[in-house]
Amino acid sequence: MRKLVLNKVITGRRRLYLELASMYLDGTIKDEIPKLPAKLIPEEHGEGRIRVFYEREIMKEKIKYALCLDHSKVKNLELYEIKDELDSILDGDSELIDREKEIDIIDKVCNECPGGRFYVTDLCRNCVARSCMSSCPKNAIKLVGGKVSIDQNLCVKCGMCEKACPYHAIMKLGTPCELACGASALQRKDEGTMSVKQDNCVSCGACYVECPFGAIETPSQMMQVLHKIESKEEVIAIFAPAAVAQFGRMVNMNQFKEALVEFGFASAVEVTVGADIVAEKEAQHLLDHPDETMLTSCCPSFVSHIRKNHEQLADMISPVASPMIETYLKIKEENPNAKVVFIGPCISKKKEARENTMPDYVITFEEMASLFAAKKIEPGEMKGFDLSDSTSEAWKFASSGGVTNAVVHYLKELTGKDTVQINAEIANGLKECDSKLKEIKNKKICPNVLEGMACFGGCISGPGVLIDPKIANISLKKM
Amino acid sequence: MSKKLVEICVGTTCHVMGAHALSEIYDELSDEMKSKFDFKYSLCFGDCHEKAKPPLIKVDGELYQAVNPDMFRDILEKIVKE
Repeated sequence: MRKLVLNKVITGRRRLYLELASMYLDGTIKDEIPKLPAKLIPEEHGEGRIRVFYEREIMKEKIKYALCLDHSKVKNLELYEIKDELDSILDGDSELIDREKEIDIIDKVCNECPGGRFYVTDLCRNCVARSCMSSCPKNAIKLVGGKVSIDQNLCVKCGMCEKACPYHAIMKLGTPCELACGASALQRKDEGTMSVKQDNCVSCGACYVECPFGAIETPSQMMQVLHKIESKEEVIAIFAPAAVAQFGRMVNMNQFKEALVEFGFASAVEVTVGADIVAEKEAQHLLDHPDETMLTSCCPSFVSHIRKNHEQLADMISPVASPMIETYLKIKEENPNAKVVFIGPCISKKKEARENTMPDYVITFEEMASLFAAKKIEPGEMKGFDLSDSTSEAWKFASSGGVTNAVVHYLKELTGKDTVQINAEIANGLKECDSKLKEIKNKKICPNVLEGMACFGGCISGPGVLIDPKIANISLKKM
Repeated sequence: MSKKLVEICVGTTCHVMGAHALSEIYDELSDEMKSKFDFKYSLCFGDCHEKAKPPLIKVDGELYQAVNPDMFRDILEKIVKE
């Protein structure tokens, strides 16, 4: 499971969200937005003038994503030029709004990481043996000023020198986004910067989490949601089971639910309601089709990976919609005029919502918490609302293995038996999903269920979480 | 030495800006260190909405702002030495 390190990319983004929402609530957003980069990156930044200038430029681009703008249309615009368009941006009508992609690389922020090259580091002791030179099949290791150095023009990146060095002084420098991607969706452009191959990308957000320069961004709908709520429109929140523990150790789900209503949502509903429906329908599907393999449909990146990169297996995808969609449909039955916002840990759900044209908006826990902070909502001080009836298994959809567990629960219920035998495979993380799908393709495995989750550990490790996945998992077990 | 009261604010703004990373530091402290303090998670101090920069902690009522995990450990160690 990934360890959530609260680095400056994350804190910078959260401060940006918080300031932007506060400016909107103060009614000063139009006047203040051009000044926001300077406010977020003050002169007394402590890292020198050029660094301040550089970080402000980065912030400027990030503001555009926080407003949900299509970067290809606004990359050459200054913030004061966006000002006049702001009303229609917040209304969601503007031409400039992104309606195509969930993961994007900001070209001018990408640092052109020298991926895949080998370097001799300072750990080199300039030894007598020089096994590195002897091991190199291309004679790419030369002596420069009495020390060994790799001629990048001759190096074929075989890694023999790295293995030969007893001091581990030779290292391969990877490109973090490329290493994180399980769908081979990142490619280097001729200019040296990285770009996303949208044909392969499954929007899981692994690269967004990894990039140390914060060059990978996702358009956020938080400001449009805030605007809808402040305009007193009927907006209903549905929240993913991964919400458990996200808002700190003093906040339980009952309080979180009340906080959402206090914030301005007409009501708030747990997506566990939909998860129970999904698990029961999938259990029924397994009983009706005992000889088939079912690939779970709740993780949109997993589904997308099958459709884009393993098309032959697409027929095996569970015919049941995701818990998000099931919950949405249930709400719409009773509240046909309301707008519905999904709040979760996930970037990929934005894609799922766009492709299905439901729910109306998707925001992350990070964005929701920033909105709470801007509106001074303190869930920890609230009494809390009652939760909807849902099984403890439905909450555990949020961690790897949870979906299978819930399906087994419903299999027992539907058949009336105490034990059920199913052949289930669990793929944890996109890379494992990929290898399990290949094994199914090659008929090496033939499970009844393959549960796939693109984030290692499940939704609690998603790109939009606030809490370290390990801590979230402990709280989840108690639900 | 009497025990000092350490309060970690876990109100919304402090939480968003990383208070949970401070509670992780607390969890990792040695029992000896832990025994020298009374730790408490506190709801919003109310100071972040004025001028102070979250995450915030208080040690015997004295406010520290923009506390990151390293700072938090330093603050505690410094107090122990005194």
